[in-house]
Amino acid sequence: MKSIIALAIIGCVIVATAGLGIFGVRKVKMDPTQFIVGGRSLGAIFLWLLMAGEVYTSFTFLGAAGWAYSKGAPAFYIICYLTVACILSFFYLPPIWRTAHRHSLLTSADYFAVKYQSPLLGALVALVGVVFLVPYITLQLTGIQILLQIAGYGTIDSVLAAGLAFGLIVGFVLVSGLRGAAWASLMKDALVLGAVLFAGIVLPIQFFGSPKGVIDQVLKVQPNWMTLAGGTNNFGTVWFVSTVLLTGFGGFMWPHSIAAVYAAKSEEAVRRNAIILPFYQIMLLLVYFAGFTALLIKPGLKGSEVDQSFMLVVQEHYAPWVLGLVGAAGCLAALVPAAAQILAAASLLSRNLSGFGLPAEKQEQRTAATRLWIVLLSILAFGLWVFARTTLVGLLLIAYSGITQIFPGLMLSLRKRPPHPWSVAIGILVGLALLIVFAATGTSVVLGLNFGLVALIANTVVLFAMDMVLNQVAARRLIKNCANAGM
Amino acid sequence: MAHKLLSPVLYPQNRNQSYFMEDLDEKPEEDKSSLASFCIAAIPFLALTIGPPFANRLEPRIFGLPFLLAYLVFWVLATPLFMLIASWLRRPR
Repeated sequence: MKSIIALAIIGCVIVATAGLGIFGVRKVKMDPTQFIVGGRSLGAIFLWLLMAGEVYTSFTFLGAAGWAYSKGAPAFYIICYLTVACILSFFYLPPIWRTAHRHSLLTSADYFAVKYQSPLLGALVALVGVVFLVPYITLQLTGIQILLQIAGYGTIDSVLAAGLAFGLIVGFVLVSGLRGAAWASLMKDALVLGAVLFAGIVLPIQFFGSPKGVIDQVLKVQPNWMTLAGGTNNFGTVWFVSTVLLTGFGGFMWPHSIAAVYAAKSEEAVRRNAIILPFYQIMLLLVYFAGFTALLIKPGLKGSEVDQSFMLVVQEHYAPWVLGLVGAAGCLAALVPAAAQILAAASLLSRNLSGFGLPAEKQEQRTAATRLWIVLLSILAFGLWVFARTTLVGLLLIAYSGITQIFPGLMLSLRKRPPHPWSVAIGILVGLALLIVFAATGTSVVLGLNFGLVALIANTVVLFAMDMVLNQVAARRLIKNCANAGM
Repeated sequence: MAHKLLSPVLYPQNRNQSYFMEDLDEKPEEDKSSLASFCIAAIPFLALTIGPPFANRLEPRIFGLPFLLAYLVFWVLATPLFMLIASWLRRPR
């Protein structure tokens, strides 16, 4: 009975959200621009909803609470890095938006293809995007599964249930595209705000009198929980700084984030969004409180269970309808980003990795091709998730660092004379190779630094070196050709 | 057939059929970010990247928050203000 109430609430909310999205786009004719970047028509408010909807996934919440539960102060990096990403994006996203607007770009790889005049580099960026998006999509599936398992009180087949929810959202994105995701974000943000206020304020007050009480209690049990270990210790201060830098650089490198930028109506909207997005971070403070509360009430969870910590507290101590609402918020926080991610990955596949030379007048086919890729990709992601989950974990460990490898190329494209496209490509490949080596040997911290930052530095150094070499080669060839021509 | 489909990849200079045809030679619109706006934005950036190790303390507690967390929350909330000032300092069109 309890499980029926909780699951019914979650089901209703997901269906209502999909309905809202489809209702929101009922009059829109889906050409590729409408479908993939919402017709470049989102103002600052909708852009904010969409960006917040995409960036704050179920794992921002479950994971932030889980880190507060299992690690303490290192969890605070999450509150920093998105703010750092916003500060940087204030400067680099408006020029990208301008290029996208002028050249009618739809994907992040398009940007590289046009700026560097190299579709091959575009294809590489698209490939990197797809390879790291797929595990990220399956991560959302895991999030949904955890939530449904807890909301079902262990009575249902949660893999099947997660599959149903995922199927519904794929159908939703097939119909409504990016605009639908923006509408769904409206619902998601409202529910998540409610759930976070509950978990971060009501929970601590009920058990410990106030959020301050929770912190006092935690410090009694774990005196070091609210400060970082010094120097180059694991998860110490050096790790903290390097992680904030790496993830700050990578904050908007995801294909779906860049698609959201393209969806903006004006560069002013992009800039305004960069100014107001940090306010959303304060929710994370409440999520930390929830994690700390769970640590005190339900200590001793291990491994991946820490991510479920505060949901388990809600399950144990509250009525099914409360669990249903909190779970629904969590499910939407997984499904809305998943929708945007599938759309972005499918558009990379249909635009940058296949169908070259499709003339502009066959735009209808583009939407159809993107839809087809959405279906194929969803089946692939779900299949991988069900049958090959352990191998995906390895990819996930390097997903964020991996996608950040396109950052140097993106920044240098803003210079008056961008580097040679091959140097960017080789830099990316070197960065990825290093990441794979680190991941294979189980290293996540090198000299106290986050391994992703080490790879990013190597990437940048190689990029500059290769650019010099390639320029030299080009100059030599020019001189030789001139000499041969008798000049 | 395959060769034709792959031609934009193999010969990027043949940009005569797809979205690459727009010319890139026209001057990019001048970016209006000024040095002053960079400097203002650098303040919260540095405070949140290299600042935390120097704020890595428990005391003094602020509104019950440990000092490190209070420091981070303060800078997250202050960032929009700094960015607003940075946007005012951009060169007018």
